[in-house]
Amino acid sequence: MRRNTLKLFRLLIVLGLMSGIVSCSNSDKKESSATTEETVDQEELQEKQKVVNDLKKVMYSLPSPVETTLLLKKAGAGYDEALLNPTSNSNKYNTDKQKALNLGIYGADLSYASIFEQDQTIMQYMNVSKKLAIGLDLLAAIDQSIIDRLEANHDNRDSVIRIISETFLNSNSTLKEDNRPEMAALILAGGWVEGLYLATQLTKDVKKDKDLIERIVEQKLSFGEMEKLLGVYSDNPDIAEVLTQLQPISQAFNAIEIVKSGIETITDEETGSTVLKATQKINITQAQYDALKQASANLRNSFIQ
Amino acid sequence: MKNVSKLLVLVVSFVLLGTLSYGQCRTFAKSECKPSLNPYVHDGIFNATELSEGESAELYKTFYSNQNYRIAICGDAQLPKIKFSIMDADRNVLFTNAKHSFKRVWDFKMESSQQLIISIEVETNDENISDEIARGCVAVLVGFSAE
Repeated sequence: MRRNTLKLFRLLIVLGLMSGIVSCSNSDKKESSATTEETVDQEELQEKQKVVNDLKKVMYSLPSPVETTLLLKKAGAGYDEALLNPTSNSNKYNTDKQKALNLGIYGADLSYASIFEQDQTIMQYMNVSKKLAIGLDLLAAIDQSIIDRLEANHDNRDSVIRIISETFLNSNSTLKEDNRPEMAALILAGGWVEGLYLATQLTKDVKKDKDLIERIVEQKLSFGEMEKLLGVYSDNPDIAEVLTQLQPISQAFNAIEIVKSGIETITDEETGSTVLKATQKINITQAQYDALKQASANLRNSFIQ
Repeated sequence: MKNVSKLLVLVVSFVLLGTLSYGQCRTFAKSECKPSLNPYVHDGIFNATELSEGESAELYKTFYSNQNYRIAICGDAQLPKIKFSIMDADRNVLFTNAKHSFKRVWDFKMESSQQLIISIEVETNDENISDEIARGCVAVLVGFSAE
């Protein structure tokens, strides 16, 4: 009797684990799947446990718009307010896809304005982000307390960046919790596309703007992660459409070559900090860059319409 | 028949438990893990999932040159030690906390932008063998220097 109870208990643990995995990791790609049977013996249970343990969850993380705009500023980019998606456009976004993509786009614009300490624009873009967040039932992501904290700390760039980062965390964690990870992926994709758009609009010449161009071309790496992240939800029609729309960007990046060396790690024993030493060489022509810039503008402008 | 019904009720309970626990994972990541990124700025991306002992996960992320980063790995208190390793795109191991007393944060700087793989694995609890499999939230948060 005790043995049977133990068997049942173990079976339930295995089933519980499987259900937990299904419910908590919609953003995760599973590399294998498990099956259950109503009656199992000890050997089968062990086998099932092994299958559960062999499930390797894979996650893809895109760069934060705050991080990428900060890198652009470091590389010498300037501020041009005319490049932002006008807040008046927010009235046009009726579908969840439009709202999610443009929440990401406004989030990137907000990050860009915050890195360049544009107080008035920061408040405008936080308010329009709040409006779209409410439209996506993300009431808690940008609540009034965040707006109040932003107003109170508007002259402290570090605080502003942290508050914006908190709104990103609130948005994507709430959507994953609400079992809407595909919306979280669309917001991230919108932010990524806007980041690429802003960067490419601020640069023209592959020789004169070498540092900035290198930063832009490096987005080829995170582009691959974005494609894989969206690919997890490719059965969603909105995501499938975005994946198709991304193809010209994919082609433009594929034409550009990045050659990398191996990585050597050097750790400072006193501080515990490590430097990952490596070199890279980017081979790009003006025509290839112009194609990337055009593809970026076409895609972004189709998103904000 | 009665036993089958009981079993179904229990299975449904476990399914619901799994759903509810995701919300707890979010709270855990924000309250327990995010503070360990200080003074770095969290990148705003929520990377957290539930893992059982012996389970593993991988996170793919691009890190940029001349930027200082901190990776923080946090796990629920009931979980055994969490091993994390950083690998390059060819899966060469660049760092593993198993050689550093399973420390939960790692600070680094890149000389050229690279895609890295952060591999996390919940160790098995060999010392305390029981019928219960420890399970809980594991969060992987990334912070960058805003200097």
